[in-house]
Amino acid sequence: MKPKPIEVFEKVVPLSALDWQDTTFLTSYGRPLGGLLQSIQAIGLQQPPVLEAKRDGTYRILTGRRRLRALVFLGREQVSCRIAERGAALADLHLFHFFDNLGQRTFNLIEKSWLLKMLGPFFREEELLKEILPLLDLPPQKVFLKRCQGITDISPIFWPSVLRERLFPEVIETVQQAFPKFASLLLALFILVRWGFQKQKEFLKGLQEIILRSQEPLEAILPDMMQKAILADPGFTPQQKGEFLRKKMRTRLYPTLTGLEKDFHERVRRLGLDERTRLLPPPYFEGGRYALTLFFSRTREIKESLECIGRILDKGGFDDFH
Amino acid sequence: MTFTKSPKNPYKKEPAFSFKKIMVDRKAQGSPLTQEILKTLAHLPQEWVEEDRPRFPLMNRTSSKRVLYLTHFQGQLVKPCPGTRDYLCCGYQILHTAVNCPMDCSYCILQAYFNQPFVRLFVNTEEIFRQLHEFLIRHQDETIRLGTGEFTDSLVLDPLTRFSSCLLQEILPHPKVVVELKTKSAAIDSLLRLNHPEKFIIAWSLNPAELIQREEKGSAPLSKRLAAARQCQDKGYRLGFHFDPIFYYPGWEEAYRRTVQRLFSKIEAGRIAWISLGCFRYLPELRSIMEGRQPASRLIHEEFIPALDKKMRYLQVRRVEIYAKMLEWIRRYGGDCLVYLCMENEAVWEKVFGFIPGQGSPSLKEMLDQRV
Repeated sequence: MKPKPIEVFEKVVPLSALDWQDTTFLTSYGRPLGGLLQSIQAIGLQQPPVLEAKRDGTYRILTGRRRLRALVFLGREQVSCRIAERGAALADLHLFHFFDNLGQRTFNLIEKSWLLKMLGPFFREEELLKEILPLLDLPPQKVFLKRCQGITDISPIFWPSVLRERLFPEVIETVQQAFPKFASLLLALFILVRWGFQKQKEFLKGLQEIILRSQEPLEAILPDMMQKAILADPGFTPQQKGEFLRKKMRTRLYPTLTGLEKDFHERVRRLGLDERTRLLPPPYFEGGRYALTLFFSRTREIKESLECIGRILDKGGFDDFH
Repeated sequence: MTFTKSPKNPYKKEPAFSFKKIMVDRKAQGSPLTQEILKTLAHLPQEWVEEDRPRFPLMNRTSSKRVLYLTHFQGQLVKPCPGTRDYLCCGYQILHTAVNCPMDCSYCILQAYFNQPFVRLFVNTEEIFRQLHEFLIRHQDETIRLGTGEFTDSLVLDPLTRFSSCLLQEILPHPKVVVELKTKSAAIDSLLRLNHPEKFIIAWSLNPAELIQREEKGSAPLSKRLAAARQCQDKGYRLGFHFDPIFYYPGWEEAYRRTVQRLFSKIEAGRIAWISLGCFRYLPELRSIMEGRQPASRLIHEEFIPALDKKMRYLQVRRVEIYAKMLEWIRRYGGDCLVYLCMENEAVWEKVFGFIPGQGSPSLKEMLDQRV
């Protein structure tokens, strides 16, 4: 997968002749111009962009799109560029673009994904895995290639969240595979409630489990789960909204258990234990061992609590708890 | 111990269990059982394993079940059933003769329990029977219920090994010993040729017919199991039935009620030594194995909780509901059979039966020993 040398010649090109709409070689994403502007102002453009002349007289940008944008921003009208000789194969131009960038900077996840998407049509998967992924600091495994492809497939409105690690390649992959129709909705939901990777993963796993159990489609499940009124209410924090969703999910996944818990708390409330005494059920109501815990600061409090427990015992109040 | 060659090879009649290959541990070469099996299955490719700690090729579980590996087992061959602290164990003894089985139940716990590939048959029969003999002498005053169906199916390989007849010779002099052969097969031909049916309890694992068809690949259908049980009953054997694992799913009640009804329409309740009930439980590792191997199976997609023995179980209230209904149907169709719970906690026993074994009543082991 060695790039063939691209013959270039120097030429001064008016910036107005650039075809900005042509994004064939656009991979740079999420990089503000600030530093570059200062650099150009201080020491001038050190590395000339590389262009390809198009038949309509305009130029396609092979490398240096940010530098060119900076020059436009600075009010320059022309720039000295390198022009690639006509006739180079597209695959070679893509490799040229890739290696030119590789030598100058590291790539963020969106850029890596785009580079792989661009190179994809021209090279075998094996070549991408063995030769390109390691250069992008990605393990040479299919799963990573697939996840990068997934990132380029989602709407660009989610890319900033990917860069800020609010959304995760593995989660995006699951959403796209399991819930393609609802991918955007679910990703937006995860951003809204500000969940980390683990919670996002758990939620998706829970959804899949509910669908398998109920044999209902996601559209039948989501309205009850999401309760738009709460999610849209600015009076709740993202954390509260997230907790609400998790609670809903737990009730759907463990209907009997959550029912038992509710019933247990109601029965404990009716017992009338004082506030220093706690009655705890066996974990998951498995086995028959309940725990009665007494908190106290003074000896007198123990006496009072025990008297209260004694009164409940005499009335057979604990008989239901085994 | 000698193995006589049967005139036909009934094993060949069971295409579901036909192995594709035999692997032989070089150490097991001299065993008479190895020689016998190699003759019987001479049409299969053979591979000899020379190393002490062989590294077997990576093989998926389905393919792995098509390989019969003849080897020696070096450890303890008779050991108590590995019960757990919080759940009452019936206290039976395991005779370790094989690991894994050629049947392919979607929910089989052995998938998560063992990481050894192949159907492993221990052909060091002299050592097996030597250890068994020593064990029986050491415990000659006790009632012993012995089983071979913990880590494999007790009968599915019997057409090949005729192990049951050898076992009979060994236990015959011990009046307080009985062997329970647990199976999902209908491979009873060799049993029908044996005398002394009082020394064996032939037990079938039962589930509704449609569940067997869907989830217990390669096993005998319910009708064949019951027909085989009937033949054993007529031969004079006492029978055991294990509704274990019981699954909870939409329609489970009608499915299991009909199964209990079918059982007692075919079998005399008086010939049943015991019936056990046990709800489906699994090691957490089994979940991903089932999802990978049997994505269509819905059995794992229910409300499970991590129980005190670290296995995933249905909630206790659900199990109590299931057992109470099963008991009701058994009493309705079968009368007063001995019914017990396999690996259940005291609270469940009390709720289902109104007593806890060993607390003012015989222990579970004693209850079952009394039936021997």
